[in-house]
Amino acid sequence: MNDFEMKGKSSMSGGTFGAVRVDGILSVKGDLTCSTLEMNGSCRMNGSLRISGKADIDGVCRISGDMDAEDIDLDGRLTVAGDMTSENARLNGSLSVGGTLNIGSLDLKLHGSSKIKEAVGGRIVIRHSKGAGYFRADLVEGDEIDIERSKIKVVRGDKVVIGKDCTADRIEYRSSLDVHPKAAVKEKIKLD
Amino acid sequence: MDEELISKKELLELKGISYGTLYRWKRKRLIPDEWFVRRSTHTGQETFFPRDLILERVDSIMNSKEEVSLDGLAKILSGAPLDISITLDEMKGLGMISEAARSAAEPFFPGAADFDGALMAYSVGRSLDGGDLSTEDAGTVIRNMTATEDRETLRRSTVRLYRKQGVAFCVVLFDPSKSSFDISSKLVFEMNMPRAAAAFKADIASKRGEEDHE
Repeated sequence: MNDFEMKGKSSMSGGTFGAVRVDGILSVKGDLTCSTLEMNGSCRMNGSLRISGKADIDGVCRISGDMDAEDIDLDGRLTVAGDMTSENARLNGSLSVGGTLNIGSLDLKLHGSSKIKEAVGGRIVIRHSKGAGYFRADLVEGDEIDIERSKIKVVRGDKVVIGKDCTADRIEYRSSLDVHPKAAVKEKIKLD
Repeated sequence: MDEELISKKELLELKGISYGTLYRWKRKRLIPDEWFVRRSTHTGQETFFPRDLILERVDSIMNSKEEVSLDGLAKILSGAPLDISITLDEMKGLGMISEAARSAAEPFFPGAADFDGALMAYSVGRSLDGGDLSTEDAGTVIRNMTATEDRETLRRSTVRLYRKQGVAFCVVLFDPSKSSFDISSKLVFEMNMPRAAAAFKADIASKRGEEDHE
């Protein structure tokens, strides 16, 4: 499969590629499928983005469809209007997902507001890095949940840690629950 | 008719699986998105599954996990078609269909059948042999399935045969939980296509495998 490389400012219709490398500003009109993505700069996609391997993003990426990647490393801002799936994501900055994020393991170092409708999966860890923004979600559900600076409606998990500056309407947990003194939780339910 | 549902909480407890495992299977497409059914309850939105389908699926994933990779398993369990061409005589030779099933399907597949055709002959043939369907009923079901032009949709459907005052009629339903029929009609036959496809793929894989060894 052909690789795709660009520097500067460009637009493309989309398609299927091997390695994709972007330094600059790219606009994609349709769906883009590739084996790996390395991006420095900014990217706007009108379709969906599917990466069978790793996505390494430094900058700003905005996707109107869904995003699917085995691994994601991000420094910057990622916005996905549809659903997002990944086995492993290490994000430094902000993440917004309009639909459901289904994730094997998420490490988010929060810098700026982030909003996800539903985050579900194995391990979900959110640490406050800097800035005044919060992480917001209707639902966070997984085996291991450890969050800071988050406003969540429902948290459901096996081992749950609610850190400082968090609010939650309801928490359902199985094995353990740890709530920081500077967090506010309305309802705690232990499932047996 | 509302299919019996099981809540996600009950499913995880019953099968001893974690949220992470369930969602990994979903990411690997071992569990179709449309099986995740949202319902409002007194505690807010909750997720339910069609009970029989999900329990059977979880069992087959847990039983075969060690021999096959999750991606390989996804191919067998998904409704995705195999790239095959097979005649009814070959299927009979492999012991996949009976003579009765072969002759009921023959008018529809005079030459080699593709995946969808072979699946129809196989699945309807089993119900014919099991006594659920008459030869005429089997013809009605196959005729209606072959008349469904959108094969993608057909592969995700449930096919039913009802009888009212002795007259049989066939329906292809994309979402059975959102349908309702004349209450004086009787459901004679039901076939969930993804489930039928999984059974067919597993059978043809083992039969053809045996043949290779001989």
